[in-house]
Amino acid sequence: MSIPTPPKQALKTKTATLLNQYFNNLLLENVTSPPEVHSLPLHPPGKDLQGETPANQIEASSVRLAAQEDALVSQYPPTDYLLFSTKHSRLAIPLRALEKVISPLNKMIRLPHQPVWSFGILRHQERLIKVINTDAAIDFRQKNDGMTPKYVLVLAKSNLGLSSHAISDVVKLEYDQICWHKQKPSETRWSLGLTQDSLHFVLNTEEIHAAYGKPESPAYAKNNV
Amino acid sequence: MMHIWTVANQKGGVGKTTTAVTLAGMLAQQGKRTLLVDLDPQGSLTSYFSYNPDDIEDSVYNLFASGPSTSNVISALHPTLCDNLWLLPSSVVLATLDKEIGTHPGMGLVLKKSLGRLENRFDFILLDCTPVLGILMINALAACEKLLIPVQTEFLALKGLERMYHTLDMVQHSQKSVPSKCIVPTMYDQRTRASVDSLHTLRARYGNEVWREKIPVDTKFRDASKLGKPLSYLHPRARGVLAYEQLLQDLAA
Ligand SMILES: Nc1ncnc2c1ncn2[C@@H]1O[C@H](COP(=O)(O)OP(=O)(O)OP(=O)(O)O)[C@@H](O)[C@H]1O
Ligand SMILES: [Mg+2]
Repeated sequence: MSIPTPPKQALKTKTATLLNQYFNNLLLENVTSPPEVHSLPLHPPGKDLQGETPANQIEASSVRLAAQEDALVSQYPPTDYLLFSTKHSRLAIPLRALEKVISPLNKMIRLPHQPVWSFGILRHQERLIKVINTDAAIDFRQKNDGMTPKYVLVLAKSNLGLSSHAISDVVKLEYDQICWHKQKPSETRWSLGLTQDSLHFVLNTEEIHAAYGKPESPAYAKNNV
Repeated sequence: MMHIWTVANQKGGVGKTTTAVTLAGMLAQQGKRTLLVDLDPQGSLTSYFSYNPDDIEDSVYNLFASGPSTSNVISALHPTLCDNLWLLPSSVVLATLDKEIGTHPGMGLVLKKSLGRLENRFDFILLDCTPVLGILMINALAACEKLLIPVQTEFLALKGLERMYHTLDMVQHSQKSVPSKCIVPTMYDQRTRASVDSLHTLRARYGNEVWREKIPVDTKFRDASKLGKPLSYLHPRARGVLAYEQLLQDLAA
């Protein structure tokens, strides 16, 4: 038994009509985002795709999230950020995470076999500061050209310094003037988000302390050496 | 003013990603703040800049999942190794979009709305499309003012192009506006019959819509993709680079 095929012309007309409807629908102006969009799983691949969350739970959790967000905003007073740049990046760091900014006059002490993320050690007022090549620290693909950085941003309560090429400004930012990353992406965990107007990455100083404060090299800087 | 250009063709492997990366790299080198957007769930552009589309968290997907707000767009921006050049990466999960929201009204305009939020922050935005017709391609076509269609100069080159034109007709029908088109002949090899003939046919059939020059075959493009930088940063005088420079000049004119 053979399946009857529709006449060619009819099929063509039908396809055209369907396609037309498809395009018209997708390109409909003035649609406010349908609620379904927000129920798209925010956690991408495969992670949550099985096991659908019941609708009432989604609602409850989004109410909870909104409440948490409000609490965060009220807890988060406007904060001063230092905007600075490295050879390849524009960054922001909360002033309170900084002890001071110095322009190294002395040569950096280079260590044998030092990893790419390290510029070396700086002797400064009876202290030894471990200077991190900021570009390499935030991006394991960067190379170290060995040039002494123009500035070193010494982090508060530590002997860590971040290299910098230029200091541009200090700005006071409200919570919603920063676009916070949804999750901490594995590639950019050194960043918490971006400043909304000037697109400076906000440094995650905790991550830097965790990664470079210890004597051993950080896990994700392994490929550096 | 911010310019949005889309690179698309409903045929795979014709040089879409290469065209987007190379042009964007040149613009960034000229000091233009440039954003590359990866609209292919395969994520070749994302991988080009050494990000992994299989486990990236903030991507184009966020715009569809959480809406086209300023903060959703900005927090998905990623840096590249090149000054002035940014990436809005793809994620494999984009492959599920058509199934999830492929029939929701208005979903073809999410990207247009999202990129609108970046006005004043970028000079150029280049969108690299998947060859598959679906919600991502429709978003890209609806968002751009200029459409570049790379066409590989070989047998059957025109097949994807005809489909592309048909898709554009549909967009025009629904949107009442359509981007200006520029067909870019790619991977031209004057020693092969296929290249010469197909370029001839292309010009005969599409006339003025075909760029006056062509992008030659240049194996250096493949090497550049391994180093995470556009070719113009590595071999500024490569013949492929010179050809794209000419294209950029003509597009800007
Ligand atoms: N002018 C050229 N000369 C030589 N090789 C090229 C040229 N342009 C692109 N290529 C190579 O051809 C292959 C396909 O190119 P590309 O990835 O840019 O195509 P595409 O259209 O984006 O593919 P897809 O449809 O899979 O996304 C790549 O390996 C690329 O390096
Ligand atoms: Mg591609």
